[in-house]
Amino acid sequence: MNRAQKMAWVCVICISLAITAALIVLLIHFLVGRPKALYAVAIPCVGAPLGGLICLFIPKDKAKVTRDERDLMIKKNAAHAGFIGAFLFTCFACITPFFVLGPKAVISVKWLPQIWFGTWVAQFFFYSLTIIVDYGRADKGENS
Amino acid sequence: MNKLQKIALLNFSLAGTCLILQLIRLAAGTSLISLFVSTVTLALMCVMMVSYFRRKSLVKQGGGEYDERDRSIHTTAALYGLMTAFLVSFLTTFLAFLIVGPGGELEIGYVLGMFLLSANSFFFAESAVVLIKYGRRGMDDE
Repeated sequence: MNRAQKMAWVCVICISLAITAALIVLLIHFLVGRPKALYAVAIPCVGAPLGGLICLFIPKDKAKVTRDERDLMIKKNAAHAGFIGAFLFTCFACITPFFVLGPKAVISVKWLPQIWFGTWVAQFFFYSLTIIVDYGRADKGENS
Repeated sequence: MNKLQKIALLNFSLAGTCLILQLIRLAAGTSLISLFVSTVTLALMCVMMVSYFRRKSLVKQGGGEYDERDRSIHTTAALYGLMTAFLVSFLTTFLAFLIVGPGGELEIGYVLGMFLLSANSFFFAESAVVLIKYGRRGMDDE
């Protein structure tokens, strides 16, 4: 497993845990009715930077050639998937309130940074996930 | 100029028009102009989507019109387009937050407008990169 794969795994695990924690807190909010629990939507925004911070401590590969043509192609593909995921998240986050709250509703401006951070987390998540999937596919039959 | 370039040129001009209309909408701000601009923007975006899928069908047909170089150009262009949409979505949310202030409220239509703006900027940047890349490397084809 190379450094990019390790980083991708760390990011996916951190973001998945953060999203799960946020969902649990939101569930408690809807069941018990604690208004401050709504701030739990910010938990994934902490999980992603935490993953990035842990990635800084992953040692660099010691091999002479650390990346080749295939690695570059996988990274480009992952960047593509990451941005598509982020774009879809923005689409979902902007269109859903329109249909849920109605066309004449107003929303607090505090939700805008949340939408953008969510977009950023989605980009990070799909980027890492594509790296894991692509390396997983490409590594078949190899001894790495 | 091949078919793919023509489609990119069409998308570029339509997305440019949409962006100018969005700016007019921001400057004018009245509900009548807003409604008109939103309707025209949606119509133009439908045309852009149709031409985008027309390009996809050309790609699927294969043949001599789409080779490895075209594929590389379109992948890079899509990446640049998505990056631009990402940046525009960041800028619009950030600016709206700064202008309205942390305690303010925003009409839901503006949030939808932000998404339309970022979708428009995707088409704009994607077609611009396609035109630039063909312009740089396609001179010896003609």
